[in-house]
This record gives sequence, structure tokens and C-alpha cells, in this order.
Amino acid sequence: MRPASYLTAKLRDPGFWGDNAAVIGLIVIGTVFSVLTPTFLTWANISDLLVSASILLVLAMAQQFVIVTGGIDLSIGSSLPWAAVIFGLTFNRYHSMSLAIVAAIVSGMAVGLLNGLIIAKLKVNDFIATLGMLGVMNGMALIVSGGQSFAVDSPFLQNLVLGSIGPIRYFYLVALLIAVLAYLVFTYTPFGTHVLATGGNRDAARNMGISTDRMRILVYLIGGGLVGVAAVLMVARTGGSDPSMQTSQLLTSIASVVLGGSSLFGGRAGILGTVAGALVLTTLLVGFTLLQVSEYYQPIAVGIVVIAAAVLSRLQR
Amino acid sequence: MKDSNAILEVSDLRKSFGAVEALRGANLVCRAGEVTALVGDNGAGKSTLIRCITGVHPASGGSIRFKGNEVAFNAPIEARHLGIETVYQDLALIEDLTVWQNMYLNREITHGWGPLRWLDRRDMIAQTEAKLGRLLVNMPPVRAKVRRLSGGQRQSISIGRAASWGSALVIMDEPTAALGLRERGAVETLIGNLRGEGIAQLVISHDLEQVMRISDSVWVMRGGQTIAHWRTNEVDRTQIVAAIAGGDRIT
Amino acid sequence: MKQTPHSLIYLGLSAALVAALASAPMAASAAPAGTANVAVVVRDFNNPYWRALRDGAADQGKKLGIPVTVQAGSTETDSIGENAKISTMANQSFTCFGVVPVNATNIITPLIPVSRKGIPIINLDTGLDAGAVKSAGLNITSFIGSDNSRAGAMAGDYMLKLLGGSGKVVILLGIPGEQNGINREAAFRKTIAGKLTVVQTAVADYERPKALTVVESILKVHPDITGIFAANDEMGLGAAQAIANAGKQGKIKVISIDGVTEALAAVKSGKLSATVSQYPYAEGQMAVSACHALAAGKTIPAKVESPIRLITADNAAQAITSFPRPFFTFDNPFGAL
Repeated sequence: MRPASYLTAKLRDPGFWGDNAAVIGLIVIGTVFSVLTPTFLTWANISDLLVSASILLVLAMAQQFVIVTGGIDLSIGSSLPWAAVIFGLTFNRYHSMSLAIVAAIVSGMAVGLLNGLIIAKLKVNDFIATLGMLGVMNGMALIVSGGQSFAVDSPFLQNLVLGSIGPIRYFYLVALLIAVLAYLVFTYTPFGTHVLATGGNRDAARNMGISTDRMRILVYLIGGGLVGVAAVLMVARTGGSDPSMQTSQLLTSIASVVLGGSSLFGGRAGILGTVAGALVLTTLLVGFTLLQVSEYYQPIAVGIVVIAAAVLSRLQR
Repeated sequence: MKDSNAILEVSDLRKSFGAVEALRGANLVCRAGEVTALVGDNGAGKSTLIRCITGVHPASGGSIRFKGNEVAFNAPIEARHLGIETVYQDLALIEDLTVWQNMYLNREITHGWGPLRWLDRRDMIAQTEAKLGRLLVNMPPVRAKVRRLSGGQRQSISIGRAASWGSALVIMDEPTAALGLRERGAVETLIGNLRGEGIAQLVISHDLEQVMRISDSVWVMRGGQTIAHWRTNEVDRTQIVAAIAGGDRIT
Repeated sequence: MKQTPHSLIYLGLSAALVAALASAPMAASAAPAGTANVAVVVRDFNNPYWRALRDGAADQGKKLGIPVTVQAGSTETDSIGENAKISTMANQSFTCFGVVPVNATNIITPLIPVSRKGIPIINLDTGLDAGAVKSAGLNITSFIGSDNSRAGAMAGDYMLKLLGGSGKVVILLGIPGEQNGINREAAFRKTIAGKLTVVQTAVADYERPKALTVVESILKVHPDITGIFAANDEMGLGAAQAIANAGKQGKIKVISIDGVTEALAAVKSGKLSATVSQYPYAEGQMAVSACHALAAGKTIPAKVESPIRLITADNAAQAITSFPRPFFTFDNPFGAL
């Protein structure tokens, strides 16, 4: 088939639009904003957009692993500040960045492990279990931090936020690397296939000898570790650890995954879609800020985009 | 009488769940390269018998011999290791994965060492094409997601998978119950092909015409017992129906 | 799928386009050369306190004829959202930034590029951690905000007066770790030390429903309290409601801090005993005036105190009529506002 006719055939196929709803949405929205304001398509703005999207991207990857098995993680709204507090306290006490980073990841994984065990072994519904952990970790973060946010002063972290390799900022490089790793896991490892199977048809997976309990625990564990990484990014960007709950990040992480085409029932992992979903949601915020759109219209527009993407994804093959 | 061709010999098998006697003396012989049909009304004990054979439940009494040796399975994985594969009624296929991914599910071919393994996709795709290509009449593209396949194609893949991994005995529970005429034909052709490969097949079917068409021997169960068995070419439908519904024990 | 997918796609795209175009202003406002182009970022627009700050800034901008843009995060604790706003606006052509942080440090890093460009930054309302500011190399031109310690002391003094110098009180705290709340509480405690007994301190995150629930429980455990000090009006109103529900209005005095309209009305009606009114409206005005002065080449003081006033039943009516402006004149380095 000649390239031109291949392209038109693809564009005519509604399945193509459905499968790539988030990416298409990102291109459309980006184009609209570029037309409406000259600042949008500048490298400085795109770079800052990617930096603003990074924490969300990592959280969306965490949520992706869990959602693929048909689960959900509502606890990241407070396991994020929890890991941030552990990270900050460890660094301020021991002045070792590597130790602090390990502590952040381990503290996130601890929450993930608890979630996984409660859900897989105690058979508690994932919505309820992680909702409960949301409250528990909120309290834990407040207890450990003494209810105080505190500064975390580190040239490494500052460089992480502001520094770059050539034109690529370290901050979003971390996030993109994680997305690439997630993609590789799902596409090229047996673990990835088993996780997809567990989400697609748990009984069938079990019949084939896959330990579905272990898969479900592992995805929460991995998700928790990624929340730890997101916490490091958050502390770097906000200059400190704050134990307050981050509900907007929680909801947007779920929206990114769903926007990207992964079914909430599990079995499909569209990493590119999820990345596009996270970028769409961030682009909307950035675009509205640049255009000085009234705050009241912003949530309406975000809602419309989410619904439009959901409608488009119904055309998925 | 020792049957040298017999892959599976079940003698006087019993199974109780508490006070309920699900099997009260079941017998069965499956031979290599032959199709054995297992028939009986609902509640006759067919499914329980299969579960005992495949290691889902341990039997309460009687014996199971596999290739002449006495066996007692504690888990399905043990049966699988000996080459007994089951095609479940819900097919155990993952819809959003491809044919080759389903083929190799939990048996993936990998490069690498220890925990750092990655999939050898090319090899799995090629081998799936080879294996299924040999067995299946109407082979779907190996890279297609199972979701896009018809009922008959899914059934064929499921059976093909079981046959490829199950070197000795493939057990099928109502393999064509949900299929249309043409697709049923394709599956029956596949069953015929597997015969040629020397695999023993055990088919549960309520479709007696099908039983007459494809099987070499037919075993009838009623009330947890095996009450009759014949070589298919030595019996007719009415006799089988009579045995299923009621009547004296016939050896 | 048998419906016509093409039309669905076109419909979706056009809907999105219409929504985007409808909500965009026709042209981004640009400042005439040599004048200020002011950016103000607050925590959120849900809290009437920040809305008043926004309005003060916007009104002063109109008065002086300079463009003022106000943006915000989505919740009181949305440090990430606020940072995203600042990062984005840093790339635009603003000449002056006024920012209210969520906590002591969150906006420091995103402001570094702004500072490096030599753009003046005014810290509004809640102070930043001085040590963190210094080690980040951030240049903060000025701080405009009310003295929260003084506000806490005023509340303490009036509580002593209302309770006749002795009694049991409860303190409601806002968001843990938030500096203004910490200062208010500390000053209140210091003022009443030795005279009033604090039987319980509870956190209600600056939110009315939380305060209501918390006070309902407290009343069961400590039915003999005679006063509640709430670190902000939203919590004070929640406490007042819980007291009214329990039939104890008038028996337990409630004093809070902020001075939002609903609180002023509650003081007038007697539901709330008093509030220490802050004037975020004035803070917003002064922020814009400061930017205007800086653009004209003048210098401004490093710290500018924004007015506060104790509002009781005596002056509540006055406060309401002037709201959101102060009903009294106050000292400020920018002259008549």
C-alpha cells in the first residue's frame, strides 16, 4: 500500500481514532492553544509544561499498573505526602540523598504492599481498601511530621528541577524514563503479560497457572514505589515536605489513565495513551493560564475534554 | 487385562464431598490416538470425574493409572506436568492478548538470565504459526487479539493450545456446544487431526450425533457411576440414550 | 458498531473547538511600555479570603490603569497546582509577581527563573521560610501581609474580656504547619496564659464542615467550656453553628480571625462573638501599588503591614457596609489607595 493511501485508510477507520483518542486530543488541543496565543508553542513554555506534567505522569504510571489488573489505588492522595515526609525527614537527618531516595521509594512500597495484601489476601474490595489507606496514610504523615510542613534544602534537588542535559530538563526526563520502563515491562517481559492476563480474565489466568494473587500484590508494590519517586519530584519542586493530602493529584492520575484508553476493568495497558492523557490534562491547565481564561470555565472545559475522549475511546477496536 | 495403548485408566473411582457421594465407582479408559466420549445427564458425575483426573480434587477411593503407573494428583500443575491438558468451557483465553500470547501464557520463551528476562516475541510468533498451522483448518492471524476472533476460532485455538502443550491427553468439555454448524465442522476436523498426532482425547458431549461421528469409544455415566461403555462402531444411538436415561447396568 | 463514527468524530472535535474558543478572551492584555504588568497567584478561589485579595488587586489595577492577572491553584493545599501556574506565567511578559504560598517553601523553586530575570517578587499574606529563600538564592523584594501574631493577641485580649478573665476554652487550628495559623495560635496562647485554660486543641483544616463536626464532639466531652478560638472564620462559623445546634448560643463565645462577609454578619447577629478582620482586599491593592511604584523606579519597604481590626457587635455594621475595604484609614507606604 502506498504511504498516502495507507494514511487516509487509517484516518477513515474509526478504530484508529478510538485507540489513539488521547494522542489525537493532545495534538488538537495543542494546536488550538498555539493558534490562540503565541506563547504556547515556545520552547520555554513546552519545557515548563513538561516539568509541570512530570509528577502527574509518574503518578499516572503508578495508577496504570494497578488499573491494568482491574484494581484502583485511591491511597496515593496521601501516600504521596507520606513518602515526601519520610524522604524529607531522612534527608534532613542523615544528609544523604541516596539514602533519602531509597527511603522514599521503600516507604511508598510499604503502603503498596499493605494495599496489595489487604486486597488480594483479605479479599477486601480495592476501592474500599485503598480508600481506607487514604485515611490511614494521611494520619501517618501528620503523625510522623508532627503536623508540620518543613523545608528540604538540597542543591541536588534544585538541580533536578532547574537543570538539564542540553535542552532536556532532568525533571521530566525522570518521568519519561519511567514511562518508557513501564512500556518495556508491559510489552517485553513475562511479568507484563501475566499482569495483563490477570486483569483481562482473572479466572483464565489462574487456570493457566499464573499466581493472580501475587500479580495483584506486585502491581500495588510497584505503584507504591513509583509514588515514592513522585514524592522525590514533589519535594524537589516545592522545596519541602508537606503532609497535606493531595486529592487533585489523585483524581487527575486516574483521569489520565482512563483518558489514555485503559479500561478501568483492566486488561489493557496503553502507556502512550496514559502519557498523552496526563499531558492533555496539564496542557489544558497551562493553556488556560496563558489565555487567562476565567477560573470558572476551566473545570467545565476539562470535563468536556474528558467526556469527549471517553466517547472517542468507545470507538476502540 | 493390561491395555498397552491406554494412556489413562480409571478404576472404580470414588469421591465424596462430606456426606454427598459425587462418584460411586467410575471407570474410564482413554487410548492414545483415540477419541473417548464421556456422556451422561446433568449431575451424573462427569465434571467431578474430570476434576479428579486433572488434579483439582483428590479422589476418595479407587485408582487412576497414567501410562500404566498409579498416580494421585494434589494440584492441577502435577497433571499438567505429565501432559494432561484441559480445555475449559470458558476457554481460559485472555481476550485482549494475541493468539500467540495466549498460546504461550505462563510458558513464555525468554532471553536473559535470572530475574532479567525479556520475551522472545519472534520465536513465539513463529512457533505458534507452525504449531497451529499444522493443526487448524482455518487459522486466524497469530498476531490478532483473541477479542476479534469468532467463537469457533477461539475454540480451535484453545484446543490447539492444549494439544501443543498436552502431549498425552487433552480433555474437552462440550467443545462445540456454543458453535454454529460450520465452525463445529472446523473443530471436529481439528479433533480428527489430533488423532493423527497420536494424542488421546477425552470429550464430554451431550450431542450424541457428534459422539457417533467423532469418537472411538463412548462411556456412559449415571448417578456417579459408569454404567456402560462400548466401542462406538459397535453401538447405536438408541442404546446410548437408554443407558443415559435409565436401565440396567451393562458391561 | 453501526452508528456513523465519522459524524461522531466531527461533532466531538467541533464541540471541543467551540468550548476552547468561547472561553478564550479575544486578545491577551498587554501593558503599554514602561508600566507594570502584574501577576498575582493565590492558593485557590474557593476561599472568600483569596477572592477578596484577587478583587483588591483587580480593582487597584483598573484604578491605576495597569493590567493585573490573578490565577490560583485548586485547593488550600494544592502546592503542585499553584507551582504549575507560576511556572507557566513565568514565561509570559509579566513585570511583577505577587504570590501567596501554600506552605513555607512551595513556590520558591518555580520563582527562581523569575528572580533570575530580575523581575520583582512580592511575598503576600503568608511568609516564606527565610532560610530556604536565602539558600535558593531567591530575591524577594517585599512582604505584604498582616501581623498574624498581633491578630492572635487581639483575639486573646478580647476573649479575656468576654470571659471575665477566667474559664475553659478550646482552640481550633487550621492546616497543620501553615505559618499564619501557627503565629495566631502562639500569640493567643501567650495572651491568655495563666488565666484561661485550654482544655482541647483540634485541627479542622480551615474548613467549616470539619469544624462543625469537631466542635459537636468536643461539646460532648467538655460541656463546660465558655469560649472557642478559631484560627479562621470558616472554622469559627462552623463552631458557631455547632454551638447553636446544641442550644448553647451566647453561652459559649466564639472568636475567629479573617473578617469575611459571612463572619461580619454573624458578629452583627450575635452568632459569632467577634472576629479579627484582616483586609486581603487591601493586601491585593497594596501589591499592585507596590508593583506600580517599582515600575516607576521607586523603592518600597521590605515589609509592609496590612491592617487588621477587631470587629465586635459595635462596629460590625460599619465593617459590613465598607466590605471588602477597611472602614478606617490605615498607614501604608503607597499613599491613598
